[in-house]
Amino acid sequence: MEHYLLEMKGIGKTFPGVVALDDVSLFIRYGEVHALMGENGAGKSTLIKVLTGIYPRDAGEIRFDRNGFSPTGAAQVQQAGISTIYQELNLIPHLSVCENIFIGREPKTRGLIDWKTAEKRAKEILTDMGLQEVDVLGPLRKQSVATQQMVAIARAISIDAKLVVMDEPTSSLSEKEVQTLFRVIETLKEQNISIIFISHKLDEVFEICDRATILRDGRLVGQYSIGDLTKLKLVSLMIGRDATSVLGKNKSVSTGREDRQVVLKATNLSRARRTTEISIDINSGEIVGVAGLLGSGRTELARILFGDEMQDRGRIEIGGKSARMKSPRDAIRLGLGFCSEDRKEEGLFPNMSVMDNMTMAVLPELSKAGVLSRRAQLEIAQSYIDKMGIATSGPNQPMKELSGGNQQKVLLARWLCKNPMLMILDEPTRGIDVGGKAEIENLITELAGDGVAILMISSEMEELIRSCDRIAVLSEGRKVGELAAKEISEEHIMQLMAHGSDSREDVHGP
Amino acid sequence: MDRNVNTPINTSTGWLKSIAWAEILGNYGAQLVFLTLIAACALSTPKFFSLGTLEITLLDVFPVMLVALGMTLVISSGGIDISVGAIMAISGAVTVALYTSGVGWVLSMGCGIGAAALCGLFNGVLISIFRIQPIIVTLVVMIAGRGLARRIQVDPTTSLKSTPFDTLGLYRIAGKVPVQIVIMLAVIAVMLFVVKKTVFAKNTEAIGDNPRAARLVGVNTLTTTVGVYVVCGVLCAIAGIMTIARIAQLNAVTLGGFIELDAIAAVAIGGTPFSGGRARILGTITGAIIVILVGVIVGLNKMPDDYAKVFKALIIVIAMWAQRRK
Ligand SMILES: Nc1ncnc2c1ncn2[C@@H]1O[C@H](COP(=O)(O)OP(=O)(O)OP(=O)(O)O)[C@@H](O)[C@H]1O
Ligand SMILES: [Mg+2]
Repeated sequence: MEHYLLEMKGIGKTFPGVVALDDVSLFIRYGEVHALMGENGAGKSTLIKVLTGIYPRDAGEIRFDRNGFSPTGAAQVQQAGISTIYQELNLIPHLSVCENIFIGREPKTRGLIDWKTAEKRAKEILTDMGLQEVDVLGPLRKQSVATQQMVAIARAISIDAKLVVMDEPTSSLSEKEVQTLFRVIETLKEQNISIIFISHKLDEVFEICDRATILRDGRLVGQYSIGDLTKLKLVSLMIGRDATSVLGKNKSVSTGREDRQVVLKATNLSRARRTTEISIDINSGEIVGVAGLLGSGRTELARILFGDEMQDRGRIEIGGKSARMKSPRDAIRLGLGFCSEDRKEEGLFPNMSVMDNMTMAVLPELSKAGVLSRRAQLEIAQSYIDKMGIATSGPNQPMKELSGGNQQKVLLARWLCKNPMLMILDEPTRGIDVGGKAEIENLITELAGDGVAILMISSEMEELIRSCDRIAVLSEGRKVGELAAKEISEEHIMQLMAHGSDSREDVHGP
Repeated sequence: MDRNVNTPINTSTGWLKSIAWAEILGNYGAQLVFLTLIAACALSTPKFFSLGTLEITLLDVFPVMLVALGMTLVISSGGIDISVGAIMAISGAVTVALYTSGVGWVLSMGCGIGAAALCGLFNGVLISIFRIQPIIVTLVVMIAGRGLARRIQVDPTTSLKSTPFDTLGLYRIAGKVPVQIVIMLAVIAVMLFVVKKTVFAKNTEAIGDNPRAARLVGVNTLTTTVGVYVVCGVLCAIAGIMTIARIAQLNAVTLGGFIELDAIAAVAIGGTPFSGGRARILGTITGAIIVILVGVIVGLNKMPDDYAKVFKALIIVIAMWAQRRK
């Protein structure tokens, strides 16, 4: 009989009104990378939380490293040798990067925390991961979501563990960071450390994983060797029917985009040292993509355009008129919408209902003299729950109970129902499953077909290539080029990114 | 898209065991404590269910109820207001000072309420624009406000016997129902309407739940926060003025003393989460009555008042335990 590092058998977990897990089993070998696959709401995160004792299990048995395992606290889990990166990062934004990496296990000398050593080790770990520029003493919240995700990974792998669980570690990362992560995973594997890897990006799964366990609707579909699977078969197993239609994604053809007008025109935007002289214009009915590496200033550009941060120099015109936006509120009044990449910090109202979360931006339209029409609110919520296939027990379910991908859909619906003139989408499909992704890309194309201007930021190059009419490429806070429809290709984008940093070095070089 | 929709589960005994009790305790914890207390009252005092006892209890509840309702809104916005007692004192002092210097009683009261609203405005502006912690801002107002109230009131105690305030304090609508009870019902009705039906309350909860996200969906955080603290201030003023009317006396040192503790306790017992994001008015109403009932029971059984404090603390702990899953 084979010995497994982790055996979870017959796991059951029920929430009020929902069976999240029903007789699910998971077996992890020593030194393997094991994918946990399934649609949004299939129960992946719940299974992880049962393993780490965040949710007590209703049924089933867990054995870890040949011992029974029923943890009751994070310390116990860590001691047993399990290190976890949760889907919603549980880092502490106002603490420094270094503190976040070492919290709970700070290096000590004579009983006191030795911050010097901690700082040095944090620097080493991050440099190993290609993040030498990160200020380890600065507060974490100043970092982009991608960097935060890398910090979470750094924390997890620097814990002495036998099993590292990664719940969608790559959802905000671009190709380069993903490759770094994979290098790290390979080294862990060599040390006979096992990894549970959750991702909706199939390419990653096929690249790094050895075996996969597939869940559907809280039930076990089966356990497979990656070598025996094709993408089509994997997705078919996940959704429980033939996936040909889901995977057949073509470049979307936009229609009705003849009479384009300039919706937004930004000239020479500069702010502090992170945004330098960026000009961009976006027309109605057009999808403009923004590509760039980690720290290239994509999100900051979005924030400036949405009035969340003020530019130091440069001007923004909206609908032909100069716009001075002091807050997002002003931008919304001018017809803009912004869906942030940072779900937890900038999107969710976790304790409020799905319905309230979805309609928060349209409340002024749904009310007379400040009094809300609950019926109108309910109608909108119900229609988007159906339209986007959001898995929820109803519009009144608290937002925090939804799975990550379903939360993301609610946040998108928040702006879809507002029907803005210009929509800024920062990583719109973050955490959304394969089927949902195609649906959302279609929805965005449809929106553009109706004349909405769209600015789309994405770390997934293929997504940009599929959807965008034009792509602006940023590098180190500057716009290094723009590709028109015919020129768009992965090669060109990469070239611009690389060239961008070269030309900068030319300017500042010795 | 025909995708996974959560499968509703069948009722079975296992289900009952694992969920129903926790759910009921979490949702109706305050109500359960309330019923237990009523039973305790009825058992310990035979005359408890007489109209007289009920009326006295309700009159006692009045100030705590109003202040706790304001506090519910504040706490749902992610804040806290410990200046409520001081604001009661200020509004009372302003009202009485103006009245004794010859201003009409209605206008005096208006100014008293206005002063309280100003305090609320001050709280709201400092919290929202200068981003100072609510507990610090309202602590400042609590300390300074009490001192200010004493300066405004020249005599340490002013009697209001045979003034319009005296008449108001004892006024019964249709000769029967004390005016306080009617005001209390009206305020409860308005607050229920506000919390259930208005955009203002949704914005308040949004700020409490995630201030950053609230800003990004276009919530006007300044006016909302200011609104919340002004509403709380005005409710304090009504509580303060009606209290001095009822006892026909003003003592700026004791008026509203420690009421912030009872109000916060009422909100806690009522199940409004202190992390913000949800206002539970009905819970607060029950909570306020419980807080006062404890005092009543202790009084009726001729125990020293110190026991009331211990019991209150115990009930808070029980309420928190019942709601710990949330
Ligand atoms: N605390 C909770 N209370 C009630 N229901 C919950 C809770 N947590 C999860 N659920 C439900 O359990 C189901 C499984 O959720 P889970 O988060 O495990 O999905 P997931 O597979 O991780 O999906 P995603 O890919 O979107 O992250 C969902 O239907 C979700 O609504
Ligand atoms: Mg998940």
